[in-house]
Amino acid sequence: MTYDAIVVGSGAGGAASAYQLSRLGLKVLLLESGPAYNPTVDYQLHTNKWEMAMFPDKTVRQPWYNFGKMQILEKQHETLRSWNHIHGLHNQTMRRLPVRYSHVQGLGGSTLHFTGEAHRLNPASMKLKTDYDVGADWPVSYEDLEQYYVQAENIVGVAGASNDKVRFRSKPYPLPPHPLSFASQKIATACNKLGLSWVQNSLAALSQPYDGRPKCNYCNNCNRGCPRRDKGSADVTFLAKVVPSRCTIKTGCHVLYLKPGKNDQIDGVHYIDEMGKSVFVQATWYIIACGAIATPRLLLNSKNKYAPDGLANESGQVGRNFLESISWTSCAIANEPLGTQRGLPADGICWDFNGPESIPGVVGGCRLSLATSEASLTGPINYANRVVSGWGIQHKQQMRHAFGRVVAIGGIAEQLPNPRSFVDLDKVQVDEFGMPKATIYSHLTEMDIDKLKFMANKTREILQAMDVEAIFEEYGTYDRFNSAHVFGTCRMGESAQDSVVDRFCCSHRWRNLSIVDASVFPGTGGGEAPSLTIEALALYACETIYRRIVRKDVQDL
Amino acid sequence: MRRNRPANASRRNFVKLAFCALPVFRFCAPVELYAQGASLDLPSMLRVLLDILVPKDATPSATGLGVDIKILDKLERYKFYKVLVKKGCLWFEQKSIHLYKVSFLKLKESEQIKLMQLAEKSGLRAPEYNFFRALRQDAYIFYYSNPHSWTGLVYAGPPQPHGFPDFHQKPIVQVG
Repeated sequence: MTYDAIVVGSGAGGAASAYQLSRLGLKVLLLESGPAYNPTVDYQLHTNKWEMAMFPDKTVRQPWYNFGKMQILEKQHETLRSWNHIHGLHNQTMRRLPVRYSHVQGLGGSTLHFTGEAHRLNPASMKLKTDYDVGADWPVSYEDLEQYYVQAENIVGVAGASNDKVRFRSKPYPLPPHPLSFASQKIATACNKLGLSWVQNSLAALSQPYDGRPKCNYCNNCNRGCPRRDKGSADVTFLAKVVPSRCTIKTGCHVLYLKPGKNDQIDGVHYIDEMGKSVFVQATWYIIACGAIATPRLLLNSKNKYAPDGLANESGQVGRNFLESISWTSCAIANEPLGTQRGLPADGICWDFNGPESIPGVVGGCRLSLATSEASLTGPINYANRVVSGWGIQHKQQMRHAFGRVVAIGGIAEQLPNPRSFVDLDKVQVDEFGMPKATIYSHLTEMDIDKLKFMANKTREILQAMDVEAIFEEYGTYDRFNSAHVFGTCRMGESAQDSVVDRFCCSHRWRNLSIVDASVFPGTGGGEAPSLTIEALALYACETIYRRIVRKDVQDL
Repeated sequence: MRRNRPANASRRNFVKLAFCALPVFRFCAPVELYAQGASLDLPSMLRVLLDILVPKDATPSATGLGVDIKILDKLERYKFYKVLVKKGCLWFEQKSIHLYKVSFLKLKESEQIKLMQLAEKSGLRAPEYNFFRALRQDAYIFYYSNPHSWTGLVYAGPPQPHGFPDFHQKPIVQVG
């Protein structure tokens, strides 16, 4: 079969691209490195071992990334170290610890284990260079993307309150917002005392039956996979809606490299299929959507005589401008039963500090939200091991008192690019196919640390205003790299000198290459979850890609 | 012929020295015995330690829910864990003999609890603390995975398939 487009990666960007292109009439091949997940069978939320099972990792591949040396932790920032009242410091060393890059290799990508937040970017965070002389501007505007946000929200089934004063909406959300959980109602009261707002978050979880999927039953464990399909992960939304006759999906297919050819065109893709066979396949167009670490790795591994510095790396920016989530969480025991094992993760949110000017002394905002579920504090095992100290009869009695009282509030802040944060190929280590692994170099600047301090202070203030019994655990990314949201490593821009792709996510040089994932983001936003923006960007970009393919701007292969 | 004896060595002094060395020898003896292959009664020690960590009250003890069996199974599957547990149990045995002059399994419960407290307080670098910490963690993992442990908690079991349709309401505080 001849394909019009090959999409590599099936997360938010790849899935939305495959959907859009197949809907527009093109023949698409979607290659996914990981396996497909069966929500009914694979997720463990109905079993007694659900709490320790976490999200079930079905991949059998060896790790494909590692970390460069992390920075020294400074005494002056001791209050930002992660700790637990029973176990002490999470990181006992004096150097920042690489914990993990939290992602899923599977059909649907990291949306399979995401919390389900569905955010639009704050328009003010898309012009940081122009307005604040930091970072880089997005070459697309919020207005360019707005109708595609609407489309993505309708496909996913986003529930939200359509009264956002900052993000203009041409249409309301397709579904009404979820009620705040009892815990979030208490947080809202505390926030009001402090002059802060605490509102219903916009979530890719159904508040009503929608599109053949049931409404959420508020089990509060979206991160462990949704067996009911009410969470709008890419597999049950975009991928479920691809035109089957036009879209071939292959899992277990690991792309090793693309083949740059003559006339600034990609000649094909080389992958290893699930049987271990080496396959070379061609299409008119190639879309890379592997995420901000795997995408630059793939491009750098695709170098040849036509692309001696790696594919699409004429600007030297592939792998540069690596951005991560800067985050902080404070966990406390409330002074009354709240039933915090119930509800939706991050059901309530404070956007008061989301704008780029909102945090004094720094550029870039943050958001604060309920984090009990993301802190994995919804079941008795974690209570026993992290919340309740001691042992013996006293421990059992305390368990009965404490269960359901833990409330955690977390913050995520904007990071600006810095030259010490980037992704490169490992000089020595290779994966099981002999391809160099990715090395993540992550560095926090003083501004990043100031944002962490701000979030730590705010979360503690809110918990204090709730009159909690005690804060028993806090953790953040100051002393540990542990990021799910990563961005920036193939950033979009107007100029080919300092960006990798243009406003339509198309390579400046390579005439049949696009990148559609968070690696193209010039900025992280003020803590917004990126999946909805990735999906909107994919829908937007693929209309242009479609026109370019159909107009045959590229030479027939 | 000259003998190179210590200045004050005499038969009497030798006997005195021998008696002084006895307690040291008694402390070391178990190590030597165990090093030579004499085995701790690991399953019995684990049962006692686990039931100290999770005793019976309104809900069963750890062994009442078979936690010991699960941990013994884990020992067989993970070599490093087996080493950790053996070293930890050996510490308890040695400490018991050192402080109370009897084997750990023969101590009164209050004395066994005291040793557990000592292990807990010994700090991060101490192997007995690492053993205590690992055993405590695993005890709770296996114990609280069992539905019979949930009585008294406001917890009725895994979050699916029922979910929590009352999530927005004040929780009803009744036993699970």
